[in-house]
Amino acid sequence: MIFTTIFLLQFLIGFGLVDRFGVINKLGQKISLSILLGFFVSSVAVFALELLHIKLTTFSILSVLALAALIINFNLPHLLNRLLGAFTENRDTVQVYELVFFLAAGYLLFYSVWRSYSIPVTPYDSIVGIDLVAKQAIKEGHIVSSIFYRPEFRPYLSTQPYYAPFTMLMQVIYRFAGLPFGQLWLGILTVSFFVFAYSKLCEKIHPVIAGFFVLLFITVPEMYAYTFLLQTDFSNAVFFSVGMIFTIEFLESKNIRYLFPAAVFMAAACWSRTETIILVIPVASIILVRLSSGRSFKLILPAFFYFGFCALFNVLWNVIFFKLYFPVVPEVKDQINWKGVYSWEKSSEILNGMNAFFFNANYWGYSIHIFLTLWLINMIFSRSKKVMSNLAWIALFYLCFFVMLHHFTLMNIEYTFRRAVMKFLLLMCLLMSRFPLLQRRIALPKIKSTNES
Amino acid sequence: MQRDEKTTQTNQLSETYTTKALLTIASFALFLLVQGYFGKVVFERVKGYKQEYRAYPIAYDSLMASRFGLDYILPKYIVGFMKPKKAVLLVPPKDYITKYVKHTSTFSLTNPIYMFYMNTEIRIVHSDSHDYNKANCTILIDQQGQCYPMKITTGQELESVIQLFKSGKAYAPSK
Repeated sequence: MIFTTIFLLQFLIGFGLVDRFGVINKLGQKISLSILLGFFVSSVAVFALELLHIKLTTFSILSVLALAALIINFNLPHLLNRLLGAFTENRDTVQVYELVFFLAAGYLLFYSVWRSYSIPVTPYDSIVGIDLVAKQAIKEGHIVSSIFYRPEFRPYLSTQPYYAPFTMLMQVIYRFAGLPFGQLWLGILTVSFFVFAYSKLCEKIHPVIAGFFVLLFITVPEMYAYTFLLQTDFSNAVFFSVGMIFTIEFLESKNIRYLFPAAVFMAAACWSRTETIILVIPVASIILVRLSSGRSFKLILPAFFYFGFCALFNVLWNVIFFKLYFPVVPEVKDQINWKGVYSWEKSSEILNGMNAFFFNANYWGYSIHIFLTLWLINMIFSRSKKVMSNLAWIALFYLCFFVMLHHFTLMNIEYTFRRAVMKFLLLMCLLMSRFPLLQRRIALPKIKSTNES
Repeated sequence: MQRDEKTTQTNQLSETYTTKALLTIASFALFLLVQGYFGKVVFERVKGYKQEYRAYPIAYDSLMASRFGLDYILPKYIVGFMKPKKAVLLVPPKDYITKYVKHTSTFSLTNPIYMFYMNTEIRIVHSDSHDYNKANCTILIDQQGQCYPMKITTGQELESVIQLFKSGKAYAPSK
């Protein structure tokens, strides 16, 4: 009951915002993005409770979520209308050929959700990291609990709670909801993403191809495991890829309405792993460069809004929470390295390591190879800038990780970069619809209605 | 005239059905490609999950006991909020090794093995990966209930941990 109420409130929070974006019309996208956005906003709402030093209880969490849902959907009759409208407008009929993929994806995702519900939190980082903080928050009523003070325990605490507020707060919410292991939200997030991906791909490519790609990416071996194993990377990858696809659509269309979902989901990505802001910097710079060609200051404001909104959540966590609220200030000086970077040895070591993990079919199946092959074929035949940009984004983020691996001592290739590859994969999944050769839809002949004849 | 229109309509209908049938065959072929080749590993793994799912209601008590135990007891020990309880042997070491190490239940290469030693008996043994080279981890607990996370990087380390567990002795950290 509590779980249902919390989930419903999260959905309503997300729906209120998604509905305001004005560019998300498909039912599948509306529902899935409402859930994703609801998760993000509700985690921020619970964080606000902590900042106000209000004790975390099931009641306080329910109250703050209800309040957030009310603020966002202050006009209740309008909300009901929009909810009804979402289910009546743009209804897509499911074709028989889509069912094959629906059943296959449903089969795989069912076990993903079931495992996220029924198995405990097993990754070591999470047991002594975000999940431990969440459990202690339930006992003591605050995220800043005694585990942070106790010197004998601190060496055992993983660094996760310091950079991944989203996952930790979601664990707090869902453990308060009465779920034994909390992580059910991860399964829901997974399903939501793949529903969104399918719906988004279907906008430009045929459902058969879209279904194939979605199934291909669900069956990426290592990534499938992270759909029910509690880590911070998969949720980050989901928000990042959704944010990026809207960013790309904004850059293409220059329609300001795309900027809001782009900024919001990218901010959620920064909230789920704070180092994502490093990736936002070049993206915001590209927005700035692309829009400043209009020579109007008004046009470059979106770039500042985009970066500012993402940075806001970094500031909330890293500055307001850690510098002004958190009792033990974490030492970050030693975590940034400036010595011996970009030497030939170091660079080749990093690059070789990255390549070894990135192209490892044991981890990622053949999804990356398929993406690159499709890119090459499309490049040869269409030679469009659009196709070029598909790989350029991937290359840009690859470069960002190369730089980060040079400078951040806590980042390593084996764990940090390997799991970060999921960001690339989910983005690749969404970018599949942007290959012109795949966009040729198979048109079904129209049947004249009896009235017309 | 009317007959011509009817014929056109029938032709269009049959064309539609033909296209749809072809698309269904195509999607089925693509599905088989993913199931049999690109995503074979995951489909194979999910078969194991399916068995686990079916066994879940039957072995509910033992599964949940081990899972709740794993979930709740470890952090309580680590933070030292709970005094050691009397140990309950949920899965005997030999059975565990036969049952879980050889037939892993969880997929990730990075997912650790958790072994818990409490006082004189094994409390919970939970396996997630047989690939100890990746990131397997064990939690050793000494006579006082102190926890010592240990990353297993070699076969010898894994063997010594198993031997320690089998021997029924508490972990004695080297100083």
